[in-house]
Amino acid sequence: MAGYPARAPARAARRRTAHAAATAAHYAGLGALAIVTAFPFLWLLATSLRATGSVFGFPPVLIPRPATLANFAGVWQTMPIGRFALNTVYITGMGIALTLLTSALAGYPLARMRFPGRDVIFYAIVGSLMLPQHVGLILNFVTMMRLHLVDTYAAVYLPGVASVFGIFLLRQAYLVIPQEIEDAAHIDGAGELRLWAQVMLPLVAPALATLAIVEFTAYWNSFLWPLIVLKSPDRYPLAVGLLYLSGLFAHNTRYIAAGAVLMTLPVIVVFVALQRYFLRGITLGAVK
Amino acid sequence: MAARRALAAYLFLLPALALLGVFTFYPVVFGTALSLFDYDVISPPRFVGAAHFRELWTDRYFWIALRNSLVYLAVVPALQLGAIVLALWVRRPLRGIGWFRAAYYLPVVTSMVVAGLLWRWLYDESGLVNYVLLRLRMIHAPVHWLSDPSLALYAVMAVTLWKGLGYYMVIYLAGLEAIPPVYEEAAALDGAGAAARLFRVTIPLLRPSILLASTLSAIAALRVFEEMYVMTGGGPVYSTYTLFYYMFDQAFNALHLGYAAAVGVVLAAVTIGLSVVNFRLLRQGGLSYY
Amino acid sequence: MRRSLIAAAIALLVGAGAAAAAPQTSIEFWTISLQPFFTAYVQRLIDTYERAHPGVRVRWIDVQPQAIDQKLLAAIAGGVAPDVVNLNTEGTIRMAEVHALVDMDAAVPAAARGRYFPNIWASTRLDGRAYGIPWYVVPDVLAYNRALFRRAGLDPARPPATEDAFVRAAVAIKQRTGAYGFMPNVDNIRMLKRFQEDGLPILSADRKRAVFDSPAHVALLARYVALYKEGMFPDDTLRRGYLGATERYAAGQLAMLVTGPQFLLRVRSDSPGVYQDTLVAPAPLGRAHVLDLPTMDLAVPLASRHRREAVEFALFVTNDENQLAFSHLVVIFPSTRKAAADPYFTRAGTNPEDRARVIAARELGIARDLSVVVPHSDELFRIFREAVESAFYGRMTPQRALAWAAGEWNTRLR
Repeated sequence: MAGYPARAPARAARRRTAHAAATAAHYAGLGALAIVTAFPFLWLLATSLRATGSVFGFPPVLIPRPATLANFAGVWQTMPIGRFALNTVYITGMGIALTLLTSALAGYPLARMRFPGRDVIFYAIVGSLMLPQHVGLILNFVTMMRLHLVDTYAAVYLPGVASVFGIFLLRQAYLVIPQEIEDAAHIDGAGELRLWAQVMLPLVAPALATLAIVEFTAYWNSFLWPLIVLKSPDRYPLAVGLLYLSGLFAHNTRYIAAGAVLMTLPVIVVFVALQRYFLRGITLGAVK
Repeated sequence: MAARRALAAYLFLLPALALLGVFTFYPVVFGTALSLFDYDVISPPRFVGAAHFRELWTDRYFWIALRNSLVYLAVVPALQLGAIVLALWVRRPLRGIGWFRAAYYLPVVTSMVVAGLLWRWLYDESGLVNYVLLRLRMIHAPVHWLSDPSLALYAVMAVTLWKGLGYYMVIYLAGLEAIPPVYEEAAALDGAGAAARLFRVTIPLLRPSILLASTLSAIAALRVFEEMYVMTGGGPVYSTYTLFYYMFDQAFNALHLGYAAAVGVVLAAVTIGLSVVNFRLLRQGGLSYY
Repeated sequence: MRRSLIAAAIALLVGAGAAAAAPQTSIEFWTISLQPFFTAYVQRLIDTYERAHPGVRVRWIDVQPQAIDQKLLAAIAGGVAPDVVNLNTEGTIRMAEVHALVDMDAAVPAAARGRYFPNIWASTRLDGRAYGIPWYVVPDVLAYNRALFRRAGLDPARPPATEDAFVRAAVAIKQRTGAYGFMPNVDNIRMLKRFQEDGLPILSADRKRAVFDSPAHVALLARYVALYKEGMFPDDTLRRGYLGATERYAAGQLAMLVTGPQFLLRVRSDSPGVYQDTLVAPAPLGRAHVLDLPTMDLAVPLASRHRREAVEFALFVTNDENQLAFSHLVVIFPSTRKAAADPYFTRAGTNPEDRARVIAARELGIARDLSVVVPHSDELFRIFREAVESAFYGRMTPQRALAWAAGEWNTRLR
């Protein structure tokens, strides 16, 4: 909070009133926008707790009376939601861990070493964002088959592990580390790997946290690729399960809402818990 | 010494490059080669040269999809403008601002499966959007948001806006954080008003973030698919049918993988062209960090 | 030279799939949406089969209907195709068009073929060969909400029997109660079936010309367009088809629903209120008195490494005894003559499912699979869909829309 310098008392009083009005206006505006972005989730939650009716109908029901957990129980009985959740947690966990490791490794030389081909490699990595990934769905499946990975968890997370965004973000984070720190470590005689692991890595922790959150949502929410590469329903993640549910229970929007809540709640909890790190990490890592 | 350092560098890069090679570059190379072949997955590929590209030229659905994709791009400036304004706004040190930022970021962390379901219900003719607008007397009869061919694409764009605003807000917040306060303070000492400070100092210094965010956003916009897949199925009357959707349909429903690859090549060309233009436009102003 | 190299490389790449000789034959069996409701039934089938064939193991995978095309394609491309796969008629034809499926007329002995209804067996014929073994059929019935009927002043004891009466009832319900009366099956390419239900042909006798632009066709389409413009059915009818209709019916916002009877099973458990008010009647008939008969088939991909065992297993799944047992669980109908002759299908009951079963069994006689089989089906259907939607959304008059689509079809059918 920036302090406001003291001024003449009369002006200060007038300023305070104006200031209070401005603050109120700000909050009104912020609140209105927050309603637009967050309200649909509350409505989803309300629907999932309703005993009867559906999402349709005027006026919309926001506080279900009576509230019930029956829809969650129903979804739980119809689908192995617990199994799906475990699958999702595993896929997401492995995906994040490997993405963080790969990005932290790759970003380092790109930011702080001189070697032949560095710029070419960097541009190739960033440029790959623009390349057509369409038939990738099929060709990646063929690759997975040749690696004998079809219908395994690894097949779900491996294609996402080399993250262009992650490498870019980490490179930016390494770039802003002062040269003196590196020089001092070199004088101590640290090898490259030790220098990276013991000196550099802790300094980019905020960027890693940011990346973890971004990747968390990406892995948690992905549905098209897992749908194709996984065969056995007992390996499905939640997003695929929900898609299944929405086809199976088109007539029961309360079930679908309950499934959607089960799928979304963990992401929201994780995000709210980590949002402080998130913003700080982006700040440090972003465009400098 | 230098050689050893270079070797170390390559070793650091090895895992990322190996994975990118297998799952990104290799499909791109083969996908591009595939555009010159007829391939339906079942029978072996047959070389057809540029025939697919000639066919695209007279394919009405290709042009419909291309047109929709280009219209859809309008979401990029809207999103960026909104996100910049929002970032400037939530930068203020108000009490509880973190909660507001989190609220704006909520849609970003939501799965498109969930968001699509939600908005399909919200946009229903007896859904919440119509209810609110009827109550506010802004409309007199329910609007068919997703079923009116002249509205559907814009309705989907609104969902993209809803879902993406928080993401770009964060990028701009970071960009704003990165601007040393001395610049704005110096401008203030020179007697520059708030507006002048904003347009002469802050926005120009934000240019790198704008470049990054708008490029990312344009790439994502050209690749839009999931929104339509879960909300409109490309309809009505192909009004939300995008290039990426066409590619998907050709590959997985029509089994024309070679043709789908050709659509992909065009899509990539448009993406690259647009990114170059974007760079050119925003580059004046000194991009020192690349 | 180079071109053949690339072709060879791609062929090598995609045509792979090292065949490891397994000591035991393992066949993979894909079904559509049978879990969780019929898990026990299918598992029992598999157990029985495995006991009778000790050398064979069956691996069962249940797939969502929305994903089956993509998954099947990816699996075939990846050289890990399933051995027996459940497809509907359109899906079977689409895969048969690219020569992905085993010709069942050749693979199944005549004696075994004779057990199935000939018209059902013929529904997957493309260029004279059948590519699927019919499994079960799901004729539509009319489910209607008696409370909404009463509110509209209609007699729940006399549901509409013809399409004309159906439309009249729907209009009356909408005008008198505000709730929607119906959501006609006109989305996507279902208008092709509606035409046939009124006896209007799609193709010329030699199948080289589209003939759906006659004044009678135009009048039928125009009638639905007018109903839509008057707000007689909801805006997502064309966008979401039967899923949207199901959603509204279960919410009590739709009075009549023409649907497969298996739907009733789910309404019973999830929307007891609506279920209590639900009555079942025969599906309203068009002027031609034919009814569409959607069939589920079992197909064997050519890429299967155990085609003989796969066909054998598919015949086992679809035999009289197993189909009859399946019919006891849910309102579906067997594709074999002996199973369908079981008295079970004529015994009247009191609850909606039993009634639906009897009604649907009666309908079997007037039903046939109305799926349109044409070459380049993807492209032709895309054009037809665009024409119909253009007419509904006022982009073209019904007459211009159908004329345009017929013209586009004709240039491609020749």
